[in-house]
Amino acid sequence: MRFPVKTKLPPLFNTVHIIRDNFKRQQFKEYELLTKALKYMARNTMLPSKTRLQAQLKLNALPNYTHFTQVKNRCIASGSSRHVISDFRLCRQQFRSKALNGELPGVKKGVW
Amino acid sequence: MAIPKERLLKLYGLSAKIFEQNFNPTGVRTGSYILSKRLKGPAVAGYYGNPDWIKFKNLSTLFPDVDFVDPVEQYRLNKVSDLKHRGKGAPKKTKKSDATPKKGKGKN
Repeated sequence: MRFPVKTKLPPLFNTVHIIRDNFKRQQFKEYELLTKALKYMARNTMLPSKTRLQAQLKLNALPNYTHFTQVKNRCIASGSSRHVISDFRLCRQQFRSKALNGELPGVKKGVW
Repeated sequence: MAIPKERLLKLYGLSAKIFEQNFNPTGVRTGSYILSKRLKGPAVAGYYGNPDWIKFKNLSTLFPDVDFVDPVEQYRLNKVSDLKHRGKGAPKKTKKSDATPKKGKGKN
């Protein structure tokens, strides 16, 4: 099964890639505390080595979609993954067209 | 007059206890840097916005008394009716008995 956990769809523009990425983001949030606790136990040299090893094994056994490295910033208006300006969450083309339309407050075309 | 190192360490230990700070003079790896980092889950999960945001199609169910008009949909409907008026609309659907099976994907 592609999505083992049911998640709500994002409110704006949706593509397969955005839905997939959103699923990973939600799962990362769900598992963040557990991952941190396990990581802390595994890295703490004061704990007995058996506990540390067990924590590390449990950390490795977590599904891929709980890792932050799987998350990719995507354009919220077109779903593109390339040249995404993270401050605006838009790809360069969408950023340009929206800025020229005056939809981004404070953004102006540079003329000099 | 030099202060002995042991006394200084004791002082640092006491101050750490009072101000609730970490005191680790030997530099043992306790993994505390993992716990001291902030949680970024909420920010990461909220990247695409709130999924419960009210959409246009929900407005009519929320406020049944008010008549909402979607300008984009209205424009489309106007265009379709205009095309139909000029006889340029979509062709009428053929009945099942009239329909002939198509041969291939080409023009003919």
